[in-house]
Amino acid sequence: MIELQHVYKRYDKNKKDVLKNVSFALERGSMTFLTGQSGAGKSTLLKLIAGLERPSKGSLNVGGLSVGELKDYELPFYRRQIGVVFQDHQLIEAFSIAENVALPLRVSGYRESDIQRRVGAALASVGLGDKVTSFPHELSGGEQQRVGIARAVVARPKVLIADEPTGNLDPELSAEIMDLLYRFSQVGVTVLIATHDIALINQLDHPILHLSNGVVT
Amino acid sequence: MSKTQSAQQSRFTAWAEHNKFCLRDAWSRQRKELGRSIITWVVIGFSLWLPTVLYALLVQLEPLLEQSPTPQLNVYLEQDLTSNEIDQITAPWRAVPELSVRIITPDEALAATERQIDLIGAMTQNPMPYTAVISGPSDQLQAIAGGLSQLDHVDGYQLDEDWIKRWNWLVGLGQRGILFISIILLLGAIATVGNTIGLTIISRKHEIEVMTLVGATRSFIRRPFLYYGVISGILGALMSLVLFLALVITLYSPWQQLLHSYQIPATDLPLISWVFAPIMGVIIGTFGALVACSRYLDKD
Repeated sequence: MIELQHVYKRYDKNKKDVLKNVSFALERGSMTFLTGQSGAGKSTLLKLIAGLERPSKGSLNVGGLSVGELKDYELPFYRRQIGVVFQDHQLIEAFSIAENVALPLRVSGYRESDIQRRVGAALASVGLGDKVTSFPHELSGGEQQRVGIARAVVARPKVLIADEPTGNLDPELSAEIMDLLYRFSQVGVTVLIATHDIALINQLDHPILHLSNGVVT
Repeated sequence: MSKTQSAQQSRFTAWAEHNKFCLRDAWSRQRKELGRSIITWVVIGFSLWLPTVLYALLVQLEPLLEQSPTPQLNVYLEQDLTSNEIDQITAPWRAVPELSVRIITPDEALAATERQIDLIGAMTQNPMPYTAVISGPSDQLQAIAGGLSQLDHVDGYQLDEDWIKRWNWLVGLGQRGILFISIILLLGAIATVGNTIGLTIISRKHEIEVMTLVGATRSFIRRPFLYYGVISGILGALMSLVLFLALVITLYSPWQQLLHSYQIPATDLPLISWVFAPIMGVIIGTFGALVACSRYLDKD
């Protein structure tokens, strides 16, 4: 589902490579952890897969699409196939929970009746079916993260990437979030999670990619 | 993939659905940021109102401006000419359709002058010449004046066009002044709308980032701001129309009386006075939004 071959990324011509000769492949429906110290290149790698950045060199293939070769106007359509979860949720404060979750569907031009149905189902799947009309500031940190996950999966993406999704949560909530992400991998979504939380990774039996100074080890 | 596509609407329906969503969003933003919105409406309203009033004033005064006299050439002929000789001299000028020629006899000239200067009554003989008063286009009068020195029986002439030129320059200056003020005001209004939408874009930066992340296209992100601009323009235009209508209702009757006292016929306000504000309001709003989007959105 995700295949990188000799991928390099450099933001500035005069600076050094953030990613160096990165190659790996992730199967459909797999759940993989991406670890490494701050500045190792984890966020850059996730941005490449999310279509927010392009590789400087090498080939990045997601679901049969060569991301580096996509034209600028094609990138938004590619991004719709990728669900992204952030450490800081990235919810829009002015929108209700339902409107936050509905955003990827609105962007993709879904019917209003389908939006209502899918948002309800996505919020129910993360255990927030009763919070439809609430606003982000009315929810706890764990609940906000679950809304972020519901938004990431509502359009049924092929790939789900999560950048430190448990960074601000206590161990119990962290395990709950990981369990939720695992359930999505069980229905065929390829899940890649960047995290510092070694203790949490050790509790779970999933493949690990370690990044060190831009190189996968 | 096929399930996803079946849940999605046709391109047009999705576009229409999103436009409806953007319109609602833009209107709700106008209400949420009411203070900022009202300032924008007032600026647009005033920027449209003043040119409308000045234009209406110009239309009302047009009959007066059109009354500006044509240039005139006074040709002074010898006093002892006969009617036949005068006819022979003036025949070439009468043959030109654009020119009008009128003869003032010495007696008529004296009578006209006597009304102004009492001392003339003490004169023993009439010193006034025959005068051919020729009116017409300035270039033709200048051509005639140039050839007068070669004509017999012509004592002199006076080409009277300088003050007419000044009058026309003055009218042109007024019209250009109004155009200039209007353009400055409209540019100011576009800048104000652009600035207001720019501030809105900055305050919604996070929202825009999230939309980009979930796959929003450039036009999807721009559209609510374009609607915001158009709505601001329409509401500003509405404000301008209300103010203009109030002015017309308040001043119409005394203004008509004033025009009548100067024998200037009353003129109805043309349709453009009423449609200028709505059309320009939409243009100002759209341009302001485009300026803001290109400055604050497209640079990213």
